[in-house]
Amino acid sequence: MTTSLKRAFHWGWLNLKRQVGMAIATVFVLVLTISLITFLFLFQETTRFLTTELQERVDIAVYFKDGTPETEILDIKNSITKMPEIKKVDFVSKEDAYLKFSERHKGNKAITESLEEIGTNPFLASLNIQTFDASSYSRVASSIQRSAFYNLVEKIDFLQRKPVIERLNSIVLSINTIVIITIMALSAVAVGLAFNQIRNTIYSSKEEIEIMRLVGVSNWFIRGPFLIQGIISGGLAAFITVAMFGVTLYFMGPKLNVLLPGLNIHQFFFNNIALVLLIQFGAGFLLGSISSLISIRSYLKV
Amino acid sequence: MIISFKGVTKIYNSLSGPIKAIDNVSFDIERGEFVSLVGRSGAGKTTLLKIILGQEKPNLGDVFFNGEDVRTIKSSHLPLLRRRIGAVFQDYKLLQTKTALENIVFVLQALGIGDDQIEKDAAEVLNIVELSHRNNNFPAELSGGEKQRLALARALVSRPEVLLADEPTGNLDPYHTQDIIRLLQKVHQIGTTVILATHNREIINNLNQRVITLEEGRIIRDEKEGKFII
Repeated sequence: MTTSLKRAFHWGWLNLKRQVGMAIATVFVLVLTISLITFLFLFQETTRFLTTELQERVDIAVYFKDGTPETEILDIKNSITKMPEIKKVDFVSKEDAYLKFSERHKGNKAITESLEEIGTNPFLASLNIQTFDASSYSRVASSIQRSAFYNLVEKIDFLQRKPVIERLNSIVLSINTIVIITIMALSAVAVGLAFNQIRNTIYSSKEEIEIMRLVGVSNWFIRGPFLIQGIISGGLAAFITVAMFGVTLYFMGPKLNVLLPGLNIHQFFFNNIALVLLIQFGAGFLLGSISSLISIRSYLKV
Repeated sequence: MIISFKGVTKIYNSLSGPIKAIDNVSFDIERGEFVSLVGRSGAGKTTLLKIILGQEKPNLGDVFFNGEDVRTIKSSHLPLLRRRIGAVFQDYKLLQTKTALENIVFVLQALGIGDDQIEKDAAEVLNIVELSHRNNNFPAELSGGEKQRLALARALVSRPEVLLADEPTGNLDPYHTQDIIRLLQKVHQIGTTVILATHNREIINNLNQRVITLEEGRIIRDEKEGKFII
């Protein structure tokens, strides 16, 4: 077994060295393929970030009747927070609401004058509720409507925001579906490309494979060196891709952060380096070896 | 007997219709014989050798090698048969990306022989065919005669019971032709059964060995000390 492996490695490495042009072409195509797979992995993270960002901009607000004591509102906040679908509940007091509004419309003379004319604080205390999933808002609004404290509630603005939330929900769903389909389609194209290149490499050795069969060489002894060639090419391609992505993201990452604040793609890459290496080397080794084994099959029928 | 053909027919399907390459052929070859297959191009010589080597399966009839039915051998078991049958071809069929020595070593490694023995056997067989000085040359760097001698060395290194030679001198000049025939005779003298397919009249007439003459896939003559008569 060890001798056979040693011999397969010897011939595989020798073939690679002697057909260096073909080997470079194979490694190049494998680098492209693994890069595309890595890019899709990072793209999926970017999409996840963008959809989360979108979802985080959505919330519903529960406004309480004027005069409802703050302690009671805080008790209600605690009970809502305990619901499993709730991500975050923020309490906004009457005063905070007034301040926020004034701050937002600081430059608008008509609005500030109108506020002054009213003379009192017209805003209501509220709870801003965020769920983990945008599709839960409807359920949360209904359970508040059915709750014991509903008599203290002036209004829930879910009904006004409902069309926007539902539209956003459908956009997020569509994005996720499109991303999954794109990843699957591009991965298939990439794998096909790599397979085709390895098939071409093996096709150039078609005659040699047939000769080996004619002189009584067993199928596994013929396959061995090609398998090793495929594994070496895949490993080399994975190594080049890791280095390429590592260097690019190290230098480009901060610039990407400026474009999309909060998205630390380089940090994501380095934090998940074990998974990235598994994907890249796994893709390289599997593509190299499986493509070699499949491509060689038809020439072993002599 | 080592090889036996019983009512063997091989038909190839072509665009212009079926072609009978071998038509109801029967013969036996004894161990240690030197048999020449002669006939014009397309007479069926190569097809016959391909059937012995398991490269082609007959449509009708039986082929036995050492009593084993060649037709029923599984594809995965063909290497075991081929290790017992050495073959040389008109176009040499050498591994172009391997040196002369590696062409021999590769076959020996495939047989599972140890490195020390491989070194010894490879040196010995290259010495027999007088190619020791070309160990590190690739086939493309060898002359036609040297290529055929290397192919012969590769065929002999596994010590086969039978040596098939399909037009081994077809691409060689008269000097190298004699060289190869001399080597085939040497191989025969050490007890190997040799089956030579050729349409070289001079070779056959000088060999004074058994000659099977084929015409349109049929045996028209089978003589113990035959001559080239077509």
